[in-house]
Amino acid sequence: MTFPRKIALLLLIIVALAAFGHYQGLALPSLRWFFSFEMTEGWAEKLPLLKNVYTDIIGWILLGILLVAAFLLWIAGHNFEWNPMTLRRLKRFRSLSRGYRSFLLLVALILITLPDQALVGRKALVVKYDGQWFFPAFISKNYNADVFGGEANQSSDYRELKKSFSLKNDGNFVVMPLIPWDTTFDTDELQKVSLVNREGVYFETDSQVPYQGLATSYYPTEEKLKQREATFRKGKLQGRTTLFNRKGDPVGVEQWSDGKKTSEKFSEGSDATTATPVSDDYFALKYPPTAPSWSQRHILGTDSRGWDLFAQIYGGLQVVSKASFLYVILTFAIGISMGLISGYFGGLFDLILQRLIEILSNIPFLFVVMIIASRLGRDSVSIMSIILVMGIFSWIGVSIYKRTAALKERERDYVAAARVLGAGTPRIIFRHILPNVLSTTITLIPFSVTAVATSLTALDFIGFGLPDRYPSWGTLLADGLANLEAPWIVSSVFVVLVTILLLITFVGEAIREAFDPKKFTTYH
Amino acid sequence: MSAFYKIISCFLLLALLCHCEKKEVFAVVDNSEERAKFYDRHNISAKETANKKIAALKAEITTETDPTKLIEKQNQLAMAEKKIADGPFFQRKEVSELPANLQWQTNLDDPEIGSPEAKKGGTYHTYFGGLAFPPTIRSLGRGGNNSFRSYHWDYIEMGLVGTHPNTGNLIPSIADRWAIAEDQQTVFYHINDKAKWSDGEEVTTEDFFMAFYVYLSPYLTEQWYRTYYGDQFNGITAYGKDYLCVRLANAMPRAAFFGNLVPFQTKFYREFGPDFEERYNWRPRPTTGAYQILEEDIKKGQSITLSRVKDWWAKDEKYNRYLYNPDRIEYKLIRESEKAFVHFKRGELELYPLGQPKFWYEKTEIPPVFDGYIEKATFYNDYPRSPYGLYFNQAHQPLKNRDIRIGLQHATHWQRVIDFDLRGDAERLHILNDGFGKFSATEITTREFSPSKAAEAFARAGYTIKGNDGIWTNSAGEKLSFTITYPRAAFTDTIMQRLKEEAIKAGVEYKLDGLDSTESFQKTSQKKHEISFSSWGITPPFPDYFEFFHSSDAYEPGTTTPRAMTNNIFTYANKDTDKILEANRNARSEEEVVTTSRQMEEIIHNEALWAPGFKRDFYRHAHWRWLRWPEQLNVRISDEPEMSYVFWIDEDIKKETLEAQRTGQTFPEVNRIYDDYRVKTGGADE
Repeated sequence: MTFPRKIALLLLIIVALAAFGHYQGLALPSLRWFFSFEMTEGWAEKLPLLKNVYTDIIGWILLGILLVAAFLLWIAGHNFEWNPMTLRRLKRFRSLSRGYRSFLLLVALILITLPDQALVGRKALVVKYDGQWFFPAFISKNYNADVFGGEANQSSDYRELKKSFSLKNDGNFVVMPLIPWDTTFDTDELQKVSLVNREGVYFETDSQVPYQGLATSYYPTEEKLKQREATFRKGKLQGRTTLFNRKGDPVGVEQWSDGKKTSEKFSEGSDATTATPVSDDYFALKYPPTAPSWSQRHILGTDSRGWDLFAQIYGGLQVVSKASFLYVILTFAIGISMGLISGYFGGLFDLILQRLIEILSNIPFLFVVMIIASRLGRDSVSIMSIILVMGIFSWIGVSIYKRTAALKERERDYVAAARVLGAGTPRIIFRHILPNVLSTTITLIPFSVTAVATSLTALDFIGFGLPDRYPSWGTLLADGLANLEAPWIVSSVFVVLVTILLLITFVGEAIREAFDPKKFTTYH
Repeated sequence: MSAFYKIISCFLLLALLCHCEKKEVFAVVDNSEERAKFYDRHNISAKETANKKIAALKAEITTETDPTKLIEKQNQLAMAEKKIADGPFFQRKEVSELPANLQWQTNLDDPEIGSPEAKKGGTYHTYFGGLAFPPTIRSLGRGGNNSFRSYHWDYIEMGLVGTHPNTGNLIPSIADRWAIAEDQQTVFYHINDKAKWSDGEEVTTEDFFMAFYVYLSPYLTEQWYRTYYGDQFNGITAYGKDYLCVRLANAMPRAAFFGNLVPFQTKFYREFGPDFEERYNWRPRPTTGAYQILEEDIKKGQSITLSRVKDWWAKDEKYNRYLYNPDRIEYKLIRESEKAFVHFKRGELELYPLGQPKFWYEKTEIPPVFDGYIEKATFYNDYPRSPYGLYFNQAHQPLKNRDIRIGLQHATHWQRVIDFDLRGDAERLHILNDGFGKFSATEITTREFSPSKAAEAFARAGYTIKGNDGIWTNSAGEKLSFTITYPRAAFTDTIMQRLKEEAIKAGVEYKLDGLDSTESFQKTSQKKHEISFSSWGITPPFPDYFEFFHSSDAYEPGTTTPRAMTNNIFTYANKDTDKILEANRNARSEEEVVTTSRQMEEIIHNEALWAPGFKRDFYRHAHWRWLRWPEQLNVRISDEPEMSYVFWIDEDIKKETLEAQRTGQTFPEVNRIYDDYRVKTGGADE
């Protein structure tokens, strides 16, 4: 089977699986993306009829495009052979070990993003409850908590479910993804770290340093009912503590000095304190950002909102890879066609197009994005609209290269020969000229990808990018800089961002070298 | 290189220009003549307006069929007739013409304010709260109402009477006694014989005429003063130099409070004219209060310093004796609050407010606090609480449905915001106007977060299908999705994201529309929002409901277009509620205010007009230990530490502290909570 046919087959499998999944109401990892588009409110008002079928229509259109592409590749690939020149270039690329390894690493990273909610997400992979099997992560519909013996009308919290099942130990179980957090809008409960009393001095469970700070104790049998708020200095109670009754009203005050109670005062008519013994089990409450911890499954910690960092970085990588894929296709499709056509025809068409390009390139991209964001309302901005705006401005770069190349190529003999043989204009442009100018195009791709990644991050950093339902590296960077005392935020995003950009740059350099017609270059 | 030199020389030139900025010189003018003419002219025009109104109302009343409107119009007619009966707006009479049977009040029985231990002297260093240099030191006119105004005008300048910040009773200020006539709308004040301006001039009734001249003048940019002082007053009468009579347009409980006026010195404002705003921009004002700004203390772009008036006339008066202690108060320009915190840690500022949990819990866990050089304090106050919450706009169709609004209340998890983002340092708000003492309906408990109760309410509204995204939809495929408009900031972003995350659990989608604060305010006041996250400062003594709920502010008359630029951001209109609102605003006794306010809060709760958020019933700060406070730290009716001027600087302790810091001597750590004035949480007992 030839290479294009293999690609065609892969596309066919993707289309078939995505269509099957949607039809069956399944949420297949990554493939569910095709049917995840929703109509924005403004359009929904104008076209109320389309509103309910919009998601389906967009999904089917996308799958249709893939199907057509697969069909064309299948036809075109029936006696496809690699150009010996291309084979030599690929071989040379493989021999450039830094670039090639970077390429493999990048591919691996992109493959890691594909398992999607099977790897990172709040929905359980498998639930066994009362002899029945459930696969919540792979079903579009949500199970309410009452399905698993919880309250009606409440969505299930599988992390809690897992805890309660393992406590009861009656054959029911829950399997969670490796990282049991959604990429956005998923905050952990407040973490309580219990303090241990070692000979009158309190320590955090695993710490050797006496505890300093606030601590809370709870009513003995009710773990959520606050009983006393206290301050510790050098592991001992110090200063004022406040006692609360069961309604949460402050009813009493004690003064402590160096771990000894010096006075206490209760407000009149308070019953609560004398009736119940005051607990001496203190807990330190950990507010976000919380540090990395394997036991809490926050392997990189949380940001200041309490959202898991690893999940957000993973989601950010998914967004960046999808965005670069769409962006490259869009930019290069427009850029290559515009450039080739304008170079091949020249004359008036070229003249007008060049003026259009001049105008476009003088519009500041950032302002356009800001205007669009404020017109749509930030929550209605989607990745598609951002990519479209970026695409409108960035095809120019590609088209300039192509125009130059086409101007040169159209004077060559093989073009004249093709014309004499009676080939039509599209055929000449796309079958004859295009393959001969492709190498410069390919070298541009890695740099476009870097551009997408940095622009998305930068836009989110200044607050004009994607809305908060998209996980974003830029938002994390801004949050990390605002909370430098939580170094895990900024350092993990920084490392990931730099690594990805470095890998892409290495690949880009290797491609440029492999596709360079001069094998040896001497620099003066 | 040459470009570089050009830039350098430009800067030098600029610096030079700034340095030798010329003081603008204005020709001396005297508006006494113009003023006299104005008083006569206004007397005539006010009478004409009232007469016209009477004629119009009389005509309308004969044809009016709606009984409620009829009563309203009859009331208005009575008001207008009273205005005519009261005579001209500005009147001058002899002391002998004073009514004979006046019951004079002095109220010298309340406790003193502040601490007898207070020491006078020293300089208190602080920074401009707005983090910007004020555009002017005028108290009114364009840019006058800036964030610095409170500190040189509202908190400093004396009115005829004051409010005791602990008991809430009226206390003498410029007037040493006052009397309310039987109609509850005519108030007489006697100006204290000692009362003097800081430049030595005596305070006379003429200074209050000047105040009205300025307020009613077309030379002011703000329309508000002309409307308020033109409509809410029937006029003033001077009985000689010392007795002043203020006539209100309505009978009011606490008439002496509402008739309170601040004098404008005749000598200082005699150049008031069309160029007022430029002429008076940086002109230091003589004051009756404790502090004045001296010309040499205005350092533009750097600082403004207030100096205590030498031989201030009221310095030995009962309620002022222990207040206004530092000799000087310096306001520095610091453009970032983080930077101000650094200045504070170096001891260059005496006090730093610590409202945000991050500052209170983490940034002040530092050695100077452990060593007792810096002390921390939390003060529970009793002040109207800013009503933070989600305001539902009924101009947006789905929000007209009461069941949806109730469902939204159950779907909005404010408690989580309080526990998580505010670290439990706030309390759930249950009513719109909390913190007004007996006027606040504290027995009402707002609806709690509960996905199942939300589901019930939404089911009643026809939203019974749950989509794959977990959001309720109705049979027409409409989703429960609402946009929240809010002023964008790191802190509000977090709160809104929390609400959004929790609302999904209750099947509601909140879309977040974070805008620049002015833009967000614009959108809300034009009623273009669906739900708005807002709050505003509200002030004692009475809650106001009229402007937020009255139907006249909801829609443009006779249309369904929401009326822009009014405070009715609920776009709520209900004829029955209107009656309560009118009764509330025109109440003649405090009991009436209490009953109508409670009725209003019940309606707001039953109709679920908004989702009440949280309130703070304290303020807290850190201060260096040489900044001393009375035993109870501050006064009950205050919403920031500095506004009551009860603190003082102890130079001996300052020396001791600086010395201790040098030698490494430490003091016990101080972190006090002052809950003498802590009020009950609110919400019904279980």
